[in-house]
Amino acid sequence: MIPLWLAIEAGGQSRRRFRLRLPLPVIYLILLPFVLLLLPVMVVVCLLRGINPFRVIYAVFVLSGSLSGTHVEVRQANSSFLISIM
Amino acid sequence: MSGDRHKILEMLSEGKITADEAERLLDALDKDASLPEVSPAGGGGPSSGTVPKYLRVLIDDTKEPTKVNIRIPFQLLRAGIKLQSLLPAGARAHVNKALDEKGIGFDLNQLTAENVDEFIRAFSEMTVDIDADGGLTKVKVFCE
Repeated sequence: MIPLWLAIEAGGQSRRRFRLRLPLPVIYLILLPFVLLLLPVMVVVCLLRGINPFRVIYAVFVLSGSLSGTHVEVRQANSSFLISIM
Repeated sequence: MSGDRHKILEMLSEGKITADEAERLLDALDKDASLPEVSPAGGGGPSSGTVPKYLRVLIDDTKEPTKVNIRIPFQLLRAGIKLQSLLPAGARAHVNKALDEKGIGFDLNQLTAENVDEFIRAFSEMTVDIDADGGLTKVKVFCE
């Protein structure tokens, strides 16, 4: 399943905390025109290198889908960092 | 997307639950969904035959104090294998040669999705539990 939410938190307890929750479908929609523009370039490069472009597209989809569930959280006395992909 | 999953994400967007809570709820849903896949035919332990989904690393250092909570999906490993299959044969041979020179007898061509599943299944029983400094530092590596 492709990731739907990205949560990033950074900062310290005393300082201002940075919190960001991104609904990834919105980002996908924003990036879609760029992807469509770059797709022919990617296909040409793949064909020149002898790589099946459909397999590359599939691999990219699998890779992005596999990121779902990743959670990295580090908390120290004065600082903390969290990145979570759901 | 199932209704439950959608509801959890809605609650998260409305700020009713935190990202951690949403994650736990989504995990619980995933576990429920994967229950029919798990067939404890042998009737062994709770984890016998199950394929772990995540590699977890927990570090709790009360001396510093530092807390680390990492969860990496094993699916990433499978995706990596799929990416590896895109490598041109020449590049794979080059990597194999370099590994061989380092004394690592590993053939990238033998790396398949089936092999990785076997490898991940073997991980299901793995638990590393370190308790140092009289219980002040705890490190736990396990699969779930």
